[in-house]
Amino acid sequence: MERKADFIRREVQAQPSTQRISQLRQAYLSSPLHIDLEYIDLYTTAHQASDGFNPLERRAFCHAHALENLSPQIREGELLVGAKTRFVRGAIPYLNYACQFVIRELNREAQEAQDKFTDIGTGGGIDLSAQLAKAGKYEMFGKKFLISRSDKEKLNELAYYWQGRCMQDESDRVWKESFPQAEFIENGWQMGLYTAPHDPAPEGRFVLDFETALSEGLLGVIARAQKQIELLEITDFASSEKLYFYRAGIRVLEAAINWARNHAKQAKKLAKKEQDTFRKAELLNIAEICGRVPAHAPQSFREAMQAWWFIYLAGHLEGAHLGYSPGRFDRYMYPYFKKDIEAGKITRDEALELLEALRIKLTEIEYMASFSWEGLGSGNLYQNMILGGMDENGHPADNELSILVLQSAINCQTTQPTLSIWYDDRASDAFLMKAIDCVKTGVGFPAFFNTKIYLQHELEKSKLPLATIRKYAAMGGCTEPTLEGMSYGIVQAGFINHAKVFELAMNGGKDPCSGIELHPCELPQNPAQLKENYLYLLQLSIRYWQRYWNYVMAAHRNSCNLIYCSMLVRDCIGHGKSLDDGGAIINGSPTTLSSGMVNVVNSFAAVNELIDTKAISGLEELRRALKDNWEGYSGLHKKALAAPKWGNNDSRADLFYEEFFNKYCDFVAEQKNYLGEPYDPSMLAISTHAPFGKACGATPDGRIAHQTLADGVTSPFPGTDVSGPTAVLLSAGKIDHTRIRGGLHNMKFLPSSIQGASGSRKLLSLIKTYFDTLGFQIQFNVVDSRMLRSAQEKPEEYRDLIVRVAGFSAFFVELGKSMQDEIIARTEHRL
Amino acid sequence: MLFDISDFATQDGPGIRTVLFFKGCPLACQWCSNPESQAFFPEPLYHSELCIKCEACKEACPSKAISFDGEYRIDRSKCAHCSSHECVSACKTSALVLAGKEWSVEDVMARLLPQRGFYQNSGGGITFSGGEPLAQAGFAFALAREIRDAGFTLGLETCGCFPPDLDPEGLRLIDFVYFDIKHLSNEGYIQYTSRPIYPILANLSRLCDCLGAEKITLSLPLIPGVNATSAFIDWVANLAQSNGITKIRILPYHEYGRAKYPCLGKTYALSEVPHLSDQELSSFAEALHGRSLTCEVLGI
Repeated sequence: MERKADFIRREVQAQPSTQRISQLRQAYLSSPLHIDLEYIDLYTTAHQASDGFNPLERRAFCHAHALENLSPQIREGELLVGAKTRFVRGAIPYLNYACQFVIRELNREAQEAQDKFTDIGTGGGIDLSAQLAKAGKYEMFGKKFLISRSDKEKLNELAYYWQGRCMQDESDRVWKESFPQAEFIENGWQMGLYTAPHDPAPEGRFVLDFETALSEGLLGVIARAQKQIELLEITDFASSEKLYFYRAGIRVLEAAINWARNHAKQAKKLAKKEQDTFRKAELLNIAEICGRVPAHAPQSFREAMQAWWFIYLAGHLEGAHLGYSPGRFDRYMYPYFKKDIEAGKITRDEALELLEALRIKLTEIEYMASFSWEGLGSGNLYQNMILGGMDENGHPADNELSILVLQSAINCQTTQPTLSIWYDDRASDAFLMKAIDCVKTGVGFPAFFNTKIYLQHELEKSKLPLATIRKYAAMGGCTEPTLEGMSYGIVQAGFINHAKVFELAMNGGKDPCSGIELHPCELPQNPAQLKENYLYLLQLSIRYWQRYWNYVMAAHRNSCNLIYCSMLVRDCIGHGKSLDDGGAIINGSPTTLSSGMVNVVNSFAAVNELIDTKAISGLEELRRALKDNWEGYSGLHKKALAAPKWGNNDSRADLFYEEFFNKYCDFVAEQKNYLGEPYDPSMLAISTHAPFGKACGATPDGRIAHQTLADGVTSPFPGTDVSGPTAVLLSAGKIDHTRIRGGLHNMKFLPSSIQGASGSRKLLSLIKTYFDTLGFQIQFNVVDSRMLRSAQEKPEEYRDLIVRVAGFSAFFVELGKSMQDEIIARTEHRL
Repeated sequence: MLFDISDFATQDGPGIRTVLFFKGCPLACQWCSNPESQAFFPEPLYHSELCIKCEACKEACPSKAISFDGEYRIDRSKCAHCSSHECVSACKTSALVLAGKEWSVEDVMARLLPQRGFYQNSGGGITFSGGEPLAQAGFAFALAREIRDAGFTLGLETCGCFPPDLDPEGLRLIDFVYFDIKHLSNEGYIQYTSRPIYPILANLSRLCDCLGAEKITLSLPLIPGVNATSAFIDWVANLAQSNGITKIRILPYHEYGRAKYPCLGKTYALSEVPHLSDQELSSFAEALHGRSLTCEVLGI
């Protein structure tokens, strides 16, 4: 380990394995962020030409037309070709989902209510965009994207076309008139009870059935749909919708094949011009591969990699995805790898280079959302590749490819895809130790997930055979498990702010910060009344939020249904139904997310303590202290800070957590999603804990007004886990994680505290012990906080420094200041 | 009496450990990173950045040891080390906190037992540190018995300065020892630690006889300008070999303790000390390897 200046470097450091990958990575790091209109322009043209189509066919027609006409992307030196946009870092404005935030930005109008709580990053590629905009050729769009002047006019024109036609406008038109609690939702947005409407990027959080798509080839999938058409007898609306679905699906799959073949043509064209004979041969090989896959099953690992990328990317292009994920990559790609290695067709080094190249491809994708969602999500796409786990017989499933994938992330440090491990005690030592090596690079992944906990959850929820759950358990999004290739993906990805619910409870249903009366209830005079209020308001907030979302889903079904993705999720073809019509095997995946519960738990523990010790006469005095943000109440503030806190294995706080957690799960599951299945609760934070905190005044746990909330599900509030990391895990392990999908626990270590192989084993023992309890997930930042402070001061020197935020990793310098501060403040565990 | 308990300690023996920091030490090393470990009684630590100068502590002190002349002052000779610590309770902003607390054996065990999974899965356990644990031998041995009965391994970090006639049965409860060696000369010991070397070297021999030398590791805090020299390393190698010890641990100097001195009204005697480079550290480690000794260098 190298010690430089006055902080400690990370123990494991590495470089991309080839010059080519270094150059591609460097190109990424020095690219600004662009808006690319090509896709949406083509899509809009098709939309104008398809008025009167059946909604399924129209949707397919638009996506297919765009896909077939996109200019094929083959960049200098690339092995894997094809990209979402023409820019290294480009984003598509999916105006068909939502156009109002674009129109507001074009008119320089104030954005959403939540914008006042949000800040986004300014460093790295974002800084580069700003500099280029100043130079004059481009303008800034929003806070981070570049757009040329001519494109800006085009964007304006397109955005106005979608006004009244996009999914958001369609759903707003209906729910704002017909949903009885519309005002509750809008007030909730005003005060920061909910995250902003996420119509601009609602998709994702699922995994395609790559296994089948690869082994059959897309032509094989088309043949299956064709067969269904032949068997179909039209007798009513439902059966005719099946026909439309098959026709639509075949259309988009054919388009995906054509789009890949465009790359073959382009590669040939480039080869003709290429002077370098080595590169010329590569381009010809690329042309051959793109001519064959993904139409046909790949014949080699090299072909499988390209086929996978096309299959994945065509789905990514279809929608505004967050959390759309590769899933169990090391399982379904392994047969191709193994066959080639055994036959001597590929070396491990060659495979490694391909895996590193794929990391860059997945990191290049950007998305555009409203300003507040960019702040909430820190711009991340949450593409999650999960390794290890079990096979259908319950044996550990990790293999040589799993290790190689980890190595590719160690060598080629990029933020995407985030890696995860389905932890199993019996996994090979080499695999687990390689995973810890990756953690020690400081990139913040892999995160570790407890396989047993998810199996229990899914057995109870889905009632599917255990063997199926073992084999297909994957991760769709930051920390939400999903069954790969068979689950409905869209979620109610909006968040509920527990701390705001608490503030409302404390003040009789009125928000002390904005003055808005959300839902009148009695002003509580004692802890029992306070708790009653809290649970009542929490139940209402959840219920209305979920019901609101189903209105959006109704509009989604008609305008933005994912046809391509439906064809590659089981068993949409068998059922003859798209995802939005319940075609998947698992339709219960939608989740309701929340953050800030730790602050609420600590607040209840503090209220009890302050009353027991007679520090306050009643809640009235406390309300005054909170209103004044503790000013003039320093003695009381000290006692509030000293009250029991979550994360110290102290039942005086932990019992509140267990109670509220269980209530939360009950409330979420009371409501049904758009497909008639109960909502499945989830808890995580992404970056919501910063803006949610900003929206809230002081809380009884001693937190001052507008301070960032505790992150994740079980991570303690910074500085309050005074009993050390093991006590934190003992607290976190009390929560019945089998009840939720997802949840995360952050820990930060100084590099020196887990140094060497013995340090790695200590970390593994820590994970194992936590997973012997009911704990579900754990992730680590291995970094010296002094290095982070230095990076805040001199961002230009730390362009490629990656840290773990919530369910994802990010380039530190591209994070908003409040997130940077929060990461620095997370308790650093050292000897 | 303990002044801290630290869980998930990874550098104080095998596996995941909990370190119990005993309060009170006969030595006063100039580089001590835990100055609050030295006194054998609880004492208030003062954090000036949190102080709002409300003078509530001054009003509360029964011994009138606290005064304010724009700044908080405590006359530690007047401070009667009362058991109530009124000043700390009176402080509204936690600028005054108390270092040191009496623990019963039962309370310590109640704190440790829930963590048994971490110890068992990692081959870890408990390490006594300080301060000087053996300066509170009665409490230490009573605790050691319970820890061994619970099936956890027990380590000891000692400065070597303890009574010569400790109960050998108590000492044998300890599984491994990190024995500090701070200087090669008696003068050096007196200058930098305030105590002579001879009783410490005698205790080292006694401990080797009692436990077996294989259980003992010599632990060297290396301070540039004090003892980070090849002569010291060479002398330590001789010392180890004459006692049959084969394991050495190097603790590179760090300054993390410096900020705590003003909180106790003490001054940090060492001026600016440079960091040891990785090269210097590895040359020391190699010299020890050359003498057939194993050597572990801890990170900071």
